[in-house]
Amino acid sequence: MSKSVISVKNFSKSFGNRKVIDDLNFEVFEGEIFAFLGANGSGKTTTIRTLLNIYQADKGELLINGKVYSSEMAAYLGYLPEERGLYLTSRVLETLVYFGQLKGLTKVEATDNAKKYLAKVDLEDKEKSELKKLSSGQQQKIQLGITVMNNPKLLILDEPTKGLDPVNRELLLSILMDLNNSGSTIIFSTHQMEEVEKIADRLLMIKDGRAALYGNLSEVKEKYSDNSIHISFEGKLPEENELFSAKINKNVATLFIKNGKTQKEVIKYLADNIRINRLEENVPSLNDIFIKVMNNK
Amino acid sequence: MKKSLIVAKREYIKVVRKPSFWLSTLFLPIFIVVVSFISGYSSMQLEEKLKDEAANANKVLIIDSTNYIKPEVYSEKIVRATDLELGISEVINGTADALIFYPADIVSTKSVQIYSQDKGILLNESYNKLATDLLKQSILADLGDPNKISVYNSELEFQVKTYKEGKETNFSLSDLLVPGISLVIYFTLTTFAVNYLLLSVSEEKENRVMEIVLSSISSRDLILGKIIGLIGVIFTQVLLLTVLSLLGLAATSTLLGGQGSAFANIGATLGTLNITLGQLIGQIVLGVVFTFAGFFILACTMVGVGAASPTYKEAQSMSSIFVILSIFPIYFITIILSDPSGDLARIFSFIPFTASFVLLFRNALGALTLPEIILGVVTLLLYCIVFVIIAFKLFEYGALEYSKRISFKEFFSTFYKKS
Repeated sequence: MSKSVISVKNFSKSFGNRKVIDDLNFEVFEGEIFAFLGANGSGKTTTIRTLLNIYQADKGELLINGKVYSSEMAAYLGYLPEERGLYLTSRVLETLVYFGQLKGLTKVEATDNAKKYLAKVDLEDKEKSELKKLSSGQQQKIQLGITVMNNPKLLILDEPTKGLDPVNRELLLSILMDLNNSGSTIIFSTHQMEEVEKIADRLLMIKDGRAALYGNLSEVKEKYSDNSIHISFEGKLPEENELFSAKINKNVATLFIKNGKTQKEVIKYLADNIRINRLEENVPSLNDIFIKVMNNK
Repeated sequence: MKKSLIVAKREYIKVVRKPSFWLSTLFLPIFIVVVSFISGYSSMQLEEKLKDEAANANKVLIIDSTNYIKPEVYSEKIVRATDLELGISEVINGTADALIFYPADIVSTKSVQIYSQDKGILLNESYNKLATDLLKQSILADLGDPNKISVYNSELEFQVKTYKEGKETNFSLSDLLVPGISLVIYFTLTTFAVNYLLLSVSEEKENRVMEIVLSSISSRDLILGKIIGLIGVIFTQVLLLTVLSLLGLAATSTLLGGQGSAFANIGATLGTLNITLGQLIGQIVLGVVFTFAGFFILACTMVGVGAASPTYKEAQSMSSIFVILSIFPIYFITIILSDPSGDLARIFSFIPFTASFVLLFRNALGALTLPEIILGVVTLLLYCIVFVIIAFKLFEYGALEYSKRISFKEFFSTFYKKS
């Protein structure tokens, strides 16, 4: 079993009389990409801030590599908060170098890494520019640069693609994939379910401060699957039998598998009785699951 | 500490690189030089003009009803007259430049009447000195003793000895050197540095960069770094101000042909420091403690205000209250100066924002007793601890509240709640 990088146990947190997180538990394992999902105000940012020791937990234990986070662990971490900005009157390279040094790099290392990153995101000619003179997309690249320039082993990203145009979104996702391929663990919160489906291994969905869904992406999808298959066929197909009920429209049908029966049994029946031109498993999208979970009272 | 130094370096470079820093730093000494030069030059010109005006007069009439004016005074240009009406009409029609009338009741009125052509508000006083000199020299002539007249006319040097509690006090201007420099540094710190600090905290909050920063450095190290950096800025500013002010004084002195002797006086004062090494060290230690404790209290306040306010503009309006408080004793300066051990001075010596200034000032006047020094230092250190706790609480609670100001209720709840 992989090593636990983040461990949250029995975490609760209130602001005034409002309980934001109620007995939350989850783990993130080394090398995985973990999606942290929930509606606005569901407590994602609070959890992340508490994990980074910016907020204090009312109850519970939030650990990174078995320890409460302190700034001494900054070299290990890359953090991109939801509310992010830059020193607008500072210059690009000096900003990157400053944050690199705060994360524990030497000035030479920080300068070297910063220049490499700027080249990677096509901003090498902007290293002496003031940040306020950069476009919004370019500024977002610098924010991401601050997060990843120390080649962190753990990336915590709070809505990383928020406000990004499609090109920068793709760039960010590809940088994240590169980092993950080189061994970095990534936890990110987002409202973009297609991103989760694209890159996440596991997910946690919270609702009203509690875990509503937690697990492997395929397991979650299976759990919310309505156990149906979609076919195009030739031949005669019954609308109902002991294995399934079918909604048929000419040569196309959706078959709802009955309780206690398996997909394998249904496919065997179909193969024996009709000619199947195309067969697809009906898997709900994560977006559908998210809406279903959030609307579930 | 290493991270604090990285922050300090950034804060230092950020401020020193701003044109506004150099403008504000250079403007003051240049302003002093220009104003000193203009003021010195104008007064010299006026003095010359006044002298010329009286010296170039062709005819000045004197009516002496006192009989104090000696006959030797009169000449071709200074002419005795007897009829006031006639004399005035001569002035009016221009045949006389001026008429000086010494009335008979001068002993009671101490008044002399001068009639002349209107030559503008300043030059109208051209004959005042002549009238005074004629009268004084005439009266002195009655003494008949050239030595006495010489003593009267000389500028006297005073050698003062004072006693306190039965012992001779040994106060000289040089005693003010260290406390004086401390006061200058204190004022520079309170007026410039705290504003830089407020701007720095507010900028990070307003630009939403605080959270990224706090994930890499503890709030304690961040604040410490900012304070160190800004103290560096102030020392640069004080050093520049000192060098430029001295250069300015030297330049003024040269331009005014040696009349601006302040530079020479400073040199002389520094050369004759009437202070022992022990006293000097004592004054420096006290100066450092009082100055930096005062700055630290105000700096912590600015960190708290910056963190609690959503924008720099809001923070600035709130911070001005504390800056004014810290220089508030200036309004009572004459009372403190006349009675540095009085009740008012003592009360302000122990109020958080005023304590440093008043203690520095009283120390400069030698009005602090040993128990008061100890009590002052202990009180200031306690205030520092209290203010640093409040500042950190406000920073932790308010630094990430981007869009609202922290209320007192919310803030005080942090002391009995964990977060």
